[in-house]
Amino acid sequence: MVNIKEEFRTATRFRSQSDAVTNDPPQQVRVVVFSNEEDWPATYEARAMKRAGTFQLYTATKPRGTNWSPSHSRNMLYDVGSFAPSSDMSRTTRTFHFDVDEIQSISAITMPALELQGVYIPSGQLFSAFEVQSLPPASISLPQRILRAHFLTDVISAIDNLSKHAGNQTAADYANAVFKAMRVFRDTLPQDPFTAIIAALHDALAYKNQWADYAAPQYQQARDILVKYGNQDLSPGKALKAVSAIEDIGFDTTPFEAISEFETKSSGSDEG
Amino acid sequence: MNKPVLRLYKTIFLAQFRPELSYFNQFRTAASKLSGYPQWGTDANSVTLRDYKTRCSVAIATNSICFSQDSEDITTTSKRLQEALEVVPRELNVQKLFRIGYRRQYLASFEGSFEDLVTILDVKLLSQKKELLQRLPSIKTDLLYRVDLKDGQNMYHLTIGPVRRQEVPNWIQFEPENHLAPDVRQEQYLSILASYPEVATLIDIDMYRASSDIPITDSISFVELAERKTAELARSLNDYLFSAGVTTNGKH
Repeated sequence: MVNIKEEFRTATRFRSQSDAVTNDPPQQVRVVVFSNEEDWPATYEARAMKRAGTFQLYTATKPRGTNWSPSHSRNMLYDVGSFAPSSDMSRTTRTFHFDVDEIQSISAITMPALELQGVYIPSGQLFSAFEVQSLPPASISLPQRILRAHFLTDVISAIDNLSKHAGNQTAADYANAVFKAMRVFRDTLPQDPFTAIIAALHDALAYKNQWADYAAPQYQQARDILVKYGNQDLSPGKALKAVSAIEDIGFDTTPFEAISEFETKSSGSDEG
Repeated sequence: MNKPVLRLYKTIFLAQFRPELSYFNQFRTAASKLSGYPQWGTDANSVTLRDYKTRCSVAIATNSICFSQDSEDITTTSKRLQEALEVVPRELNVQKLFRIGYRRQYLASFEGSFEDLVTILDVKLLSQKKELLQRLPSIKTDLLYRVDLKDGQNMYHLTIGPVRRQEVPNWIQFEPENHLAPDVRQEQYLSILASYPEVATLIDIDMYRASSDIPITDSISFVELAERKTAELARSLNDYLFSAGVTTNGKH
């Protein structure tokens, strides 16, 4: 059985280490993951999220690595690879090397059946978000599904109310209720892959009060996507598919401007 | 892991009335007119009729008629209760009751850990207000949800909580003296204790009316209503607690 409280604590610990952000352009991203487990999994999954700009694929150099491959979204990269013996391996650490230009953040590296203990992010690397988590089982447990359904019902109910008042002056109150329900979901179920979908929609609505610009039909489509994926066993990859579906109906799930500013400066200096 | 399945473990009915002196000349006669109870026991003030086969019994005392059954056989419960309420009050010349109650105790077996069940019931039944939670130690290890409710003239004691197997007898009291034959009593009782779910949710619903002048003629209709209401409430609560899906209208 999943020990939910233990997972919460683990997630919180990692989240506190996720603020390694610099303005230096990334050349090579090196991520050292360390664990107190001796038996490392043979495979890993890594997801990278491109925060702004045009999507472009770059080679990611990893032990027995493969190229980044486009997955489900124009703003996301998804990769599955395996570990191979190298000088980067020790009993307690594994190192990932990502040669990247355009990738602005690594959103998650997941590994099955591993209690990850920490992440070392070298200075001089650009991350807008970083999160490490154990890979959830293919079929999530009934307690997790029950809790997801419980909190998702509140989110959907709040979106329905916002939809009814979309475009009206009263919409702000309902938008606030949506954000509150989403934050409760995120804080209560940080290990549920569905949280990535909630977070993506939250970002799309919250940034610069963009909730005011979306129309009722879009909200209805978004809530239908939440219901559809909320009733499924989700892998992180499937969650990305849901985020992609939300983007396809017009929600910008990666709206943050900080990266764009950096890119503007960077491209400006290149031109100069 | 499957959704918890609700199972009825015990039903108790109790009608209470003012004692009359004439009771002492009538109570054994009243008891003898009930059918289907091969075993019995009596003392100066009371008589108990027992049927080990269906695990039910009727106890007649100076101020009460009690029926109890340790099984999920609701057909037998209905039939036996109706007979008792038609025969015994008439034989004892009881016209008014001051309390009438019908109680069902269910267990919904849970395949996960006790800690997971506590987490679910906590989220579903108790306040999650930050202002409250930040005042409490961070981890809840056990809980009990207990409320008194009212619906017209019907009142309820509702108890919900997670139980481990060894805790079940504290909440659901099987009556080996009344419902198990003496020659196999100890062996069967131990077997029953061992058969309780390792982890379960107790749903205990006691529906009752309390008033100085409840007509005895209302008792049968009360039982019929209570059978329906307790079953519906238990099923509805089990659905609410353990729903793992969201519908397109946003409901569990």
